[in-house]
Amino acid sequence: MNLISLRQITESELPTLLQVLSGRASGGFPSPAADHYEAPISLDDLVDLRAPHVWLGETEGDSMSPAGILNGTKLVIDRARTPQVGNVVVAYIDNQPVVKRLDRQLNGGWMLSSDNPKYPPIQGLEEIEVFGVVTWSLTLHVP
Amino acid sequence: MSPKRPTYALVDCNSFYCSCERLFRPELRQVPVVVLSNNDGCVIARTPEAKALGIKMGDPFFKIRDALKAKGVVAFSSNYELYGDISSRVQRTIESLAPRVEVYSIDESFADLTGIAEPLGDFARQIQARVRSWTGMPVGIGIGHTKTLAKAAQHASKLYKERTGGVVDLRADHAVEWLLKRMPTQEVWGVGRRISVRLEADGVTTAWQLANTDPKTIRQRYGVVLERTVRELTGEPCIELQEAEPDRQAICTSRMFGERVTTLEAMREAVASYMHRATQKLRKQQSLTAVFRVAVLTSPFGDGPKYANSVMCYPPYPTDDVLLLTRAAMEGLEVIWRDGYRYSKAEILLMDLRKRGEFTGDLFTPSQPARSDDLMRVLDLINVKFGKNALHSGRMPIDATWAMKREMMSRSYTTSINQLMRFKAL
Repeated sequence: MNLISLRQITESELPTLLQVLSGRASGGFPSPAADHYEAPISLDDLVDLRAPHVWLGETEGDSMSPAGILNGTKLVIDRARTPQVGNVVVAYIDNQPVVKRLDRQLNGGWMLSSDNPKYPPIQGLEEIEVFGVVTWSLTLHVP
Repeated sequence: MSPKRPTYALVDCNSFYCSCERLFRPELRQVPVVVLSNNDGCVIARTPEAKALGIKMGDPFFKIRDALKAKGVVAFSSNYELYGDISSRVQRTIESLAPRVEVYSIDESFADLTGIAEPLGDFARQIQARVRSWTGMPVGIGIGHTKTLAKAAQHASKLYKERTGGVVDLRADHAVEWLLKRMPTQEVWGVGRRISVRLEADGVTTAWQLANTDPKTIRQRYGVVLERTVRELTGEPCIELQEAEPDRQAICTSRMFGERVTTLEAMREAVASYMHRATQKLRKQQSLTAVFRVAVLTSPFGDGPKYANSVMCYPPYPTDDVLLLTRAAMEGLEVIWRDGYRYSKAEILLMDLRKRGEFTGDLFTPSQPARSDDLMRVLDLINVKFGKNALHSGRMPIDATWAMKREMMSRSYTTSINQLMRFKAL
C-alpha cells in the first residue's frame, strides 16, 4: 500500500465523501436506463448558440412575415456563413439594421427584398453590408 | 533555422472597447468614440479619430465633457458585460485555428504557432480575417520567436498599419534589428516608465540598445525580470505560454461610489455589496479566506477633510460564508468609521486564501460547518439561475444611491435577452 497522507476528515468534506461512498456501495438492481443515458436535448446545441460566430437579434416589423419572421421574432444569426442569394440576412442599409432576403436584380446587382408583397424591394444599392445570415427564428405563439 | 524553434503570435484587438460599441452602431464607424472608466470618471479607450483630436487616455470626463460635445465625439460608459462576451468570442475564434492560446488580457491573446506550416504570415492573416468575420473585431497580429518580440511586432503592426495590413512577422534577424532600433525602451513589454527613465540615465534609449546590453549586468542593476526581457529581445524564450489562469492569491473588490457616502448605514450597504461580490469570486475558485481587510477612504482630491483607514478582520475559521464574513466586516467597519467625512470609496480585500481540501487544521481548530457549505452552494445555484444578485444578505440594498454611474451605457446586446439588437422588417 502506498500511503500518501493521513488526516482527519473535516466536517465540511464529510457530505461529499459520504455521497461518493454511498454511490459506490449501492447494491440494488442497476437501472436498465443507465447504459442509455443521453444528455438532455438542447435548443442551444440545435442552433449552435454557443459558437463564437452565432449572434442573437430581434425583429421589428412584419415585412418578413411570410417567412415566419414576425414582429418580435428572435433571430439566430450566423456570421461564419457566406451569404447566398435567397438567404434571409440581417444587414446595415444606410446604417439601419434590417432583416431581409438577399436577392439579385435583373441587371445582376444586389437587392434586398421583403417576403411580404406590401413592401417594395430595396434596390440600386452600391454595396450591401451583411451582418450575418439568419439560420433560425424563434417566435412566441402565446401572447 | 530549426523548425521546432518556438514561435508566438500576439493578437490584439484595435481600440477594443470602442470597436465593441461600434459593432452595433454602424453610424459611429467614422465618428470619434471614447469609452469612460467606472463611474464615467476618465477616458480609458479611444478610437484613432478621437486620438487625433488630442483626447488623451486618463482625461477626466467632467473636464472635457463640453469639448467632446463640440467636437462631435461620442462617449460611452464602460459596458463590461458586452466587452466580456465579445472578448470571449474573439478568444474562441482564435482557438478554432491555433492549438494553444493564452488569454493575456481582455483584448490580447498569445497563440503558440510553433510547428505550424509556413507561411505563417498567411496563417496570421487567416486568423485576422476569421476574427473580423465571426466577431466583427479588427485585430493586429505580431509574430516573433519570443512573447516579448511578438508583442513588439504587434506594436509595429499598429504603427505601420497601412503598410503591413496589421500583420507583422518579426522572425528575421534584420527585421528585429530594424524595428528595435526605432523602438523606445518604454514601448517594450515589461519595461515601465520608471525603468525606462533609469535606463535612459544609463544611456539606453532604444530597444535595440537594451537587447545588446549584458544580461548579467542588467540583472545586477535592475533585477531578474528585466534580465528576462533582455534575453527575450535577443530571441531567447524565457516566458512561457500560460494557458490556464492561476488562482488568485488575494481577491479585491473596490469601487468608487457614484455619489459620496456620508452615513454609516449607506457605507454598511456598500461594504455588504462588495463582500457579496468578493465571496462569489472566492467560491468560484473554491477557496476559503482566513483574513480580510476592510478599507474606507475619502477622495484624495478636492478641499474636504480627508480620511482613510482600514482594519484587518479574522473570521473564526477559514471560510467562504458570505453571512459570516459580512458580519465580521460590519464589526470591522464600526472600528474605522468616522462621522463627518464624504467617503468616495470602500474596499474589501480577501487574503490568506486557501484552496479547499489543501490545508489541514489541527484537531482542535474549528472549520466551516457543513450547513454553511450547503447554504453557500444553494445561494450560488440560485444566483446562477436568476442573476448574480438575486439572493444576497439583507445588509446589501436592492437599489443603492451610491451605485456606479453609468449614464451613457450601451445595451447589453449579447448578454441580455431583453436587450437584443433590433433588426427592422419595415
